[in-house]
Amino acid sequence: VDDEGAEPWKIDHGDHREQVHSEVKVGVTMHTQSLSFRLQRIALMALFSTSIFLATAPATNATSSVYSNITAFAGSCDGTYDTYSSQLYNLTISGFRKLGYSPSGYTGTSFTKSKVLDSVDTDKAFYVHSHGDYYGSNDTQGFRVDAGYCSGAPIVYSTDVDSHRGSTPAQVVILSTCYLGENPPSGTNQLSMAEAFGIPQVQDLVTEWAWYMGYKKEPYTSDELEFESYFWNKIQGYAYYGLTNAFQAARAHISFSTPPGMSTPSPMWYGNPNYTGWYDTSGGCPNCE
Amino acid sequence: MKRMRLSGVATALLLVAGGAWLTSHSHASAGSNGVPGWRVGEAMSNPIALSKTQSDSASERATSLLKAAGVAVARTETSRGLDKTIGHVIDTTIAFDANGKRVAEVEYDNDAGRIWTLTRFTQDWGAQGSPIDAVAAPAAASNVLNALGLTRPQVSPTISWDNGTGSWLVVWPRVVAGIPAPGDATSVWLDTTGRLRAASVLERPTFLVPESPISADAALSFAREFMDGDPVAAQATLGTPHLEWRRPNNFLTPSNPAIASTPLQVVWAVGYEISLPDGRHSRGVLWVDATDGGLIGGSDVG
Repeated sequence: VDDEGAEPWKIDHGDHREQVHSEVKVGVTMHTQSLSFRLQRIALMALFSTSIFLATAPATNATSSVYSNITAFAGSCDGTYDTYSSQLYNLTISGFRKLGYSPSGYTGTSFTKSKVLDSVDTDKAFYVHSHGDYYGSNDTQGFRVDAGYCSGAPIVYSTDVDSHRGSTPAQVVILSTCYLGENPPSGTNQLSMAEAFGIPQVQDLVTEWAWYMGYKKEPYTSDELEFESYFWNKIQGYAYYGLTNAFQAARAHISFSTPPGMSTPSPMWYGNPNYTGWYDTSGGCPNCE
Repeated sequence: MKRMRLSGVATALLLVAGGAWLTSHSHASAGSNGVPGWRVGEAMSNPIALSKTQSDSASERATSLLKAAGVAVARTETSRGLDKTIGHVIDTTIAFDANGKRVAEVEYDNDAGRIWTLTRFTQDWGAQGSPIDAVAAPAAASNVLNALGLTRPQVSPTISWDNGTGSWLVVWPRVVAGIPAPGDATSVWLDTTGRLRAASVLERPTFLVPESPISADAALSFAREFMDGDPVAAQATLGTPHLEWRRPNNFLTPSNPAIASTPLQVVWAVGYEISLPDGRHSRGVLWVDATDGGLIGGSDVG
């Protein structure tokens, strides 16, 4: 969740590196265990960064895209070393590959609105981890890009996605954000993010091999990570497990926590309950049960 | 950048208690920094070979449970593994119908001696039958627990409609020594006609309740001290601390597993909100060890 309409506040990633560096200097004054602990943490952060690079490098086409907002969840933006964004990114890159896609990945300053809209028409699989909400005077579903912004980052609205896509539905779409698994409030007649990708908000779709997952309300990112970990574990562990089956099995593993003053969040899916997510749907759905 | 407070007492307690726990759970493997669990990029389970006798036994048990839950089974496939997220040996049985369709999955926790999860893979999404309502759901869910040989927790359940699974969700939240364990629960999902869609018992081991937990004010001070180590976080507004059972996670400590398998420990959960004039805004929670004020994790809000 975030504030809408705030003045953009953009960080320089050079600053971030400097801050990490200066932290090491501070750590020298602390006791040995703490220094070791902090160096280990920094090494792990470097490892996460490396894994992002490695995961991205082999991508050979743009038929699927994975975006993760790292800036807004960490470092100079909220003072934490949150690596959930990196972990979710890596989970999804690996998961999309298991389903036969060759995902291209974008984080940090490469996760921009123009990048999303440039390729969203050809994306068969699509993933975003970021802030999501109902934005603007029309309460339109959307998500923030990263692009180096802590806040006030440009918003990709469902209407933007809709206007850049053709009539063919996307196949696998996962919005790991707040709110974007919901039906827009009754009476607003707003286009949902699922519908923007051509996937109606029903759970008995039979005419298309298409599947969408998002969250209701405002989940803790740690719960998103746990849920998506169990979800992808099922996909990784079994042949043609089925996205809805994996959703159900993962759901049984998580008791979502409720942020103070909020309603209990939950994951949501729409689309074809029998779709395995397999990239090649020519001839129907060759690996569907 | 902010300072991480992980006190010697907390570390020692974690290592001693964790060591004792590891000793009693000899198949749990510690991670590179001593905190066992699962990390992104790893397989979630280490396979364990099953003899035919063991496999048959596990399959019969799962089939029996599924029949009790009203699921017809024609064939099963069973595997065994050490699940890194809880450190227990789990038998996973996938059930198929006569047409070869995958109809259900049972994850049986050998260490706990009961199911961990049971999921029926619905083939009739959108189907309607004689509906049950929120009032009838708890009794129907209790019957499911009985059929599965599970104990109904002695707390009041919550009932909600879970759109994601198209079912009534009846949850008995876990409370240990009067302290809630938000990530743990006994849950039953029922479709609109009262048939089982899923059930799970998320009940992880716990450390002892600390004999002399730090006060809420002390927890607030530790959280404030931590936030003050960063110029952005220092401007956070902190909420009222409340006690919870939580496991360490890697929100503040990236070297920790994504899902730790260590026992739950009592923490003060301290909510925070950062809202700056330049528009920066974030919310989350910090978990302050109730034993000594060390920070063991938390989360931001997506």
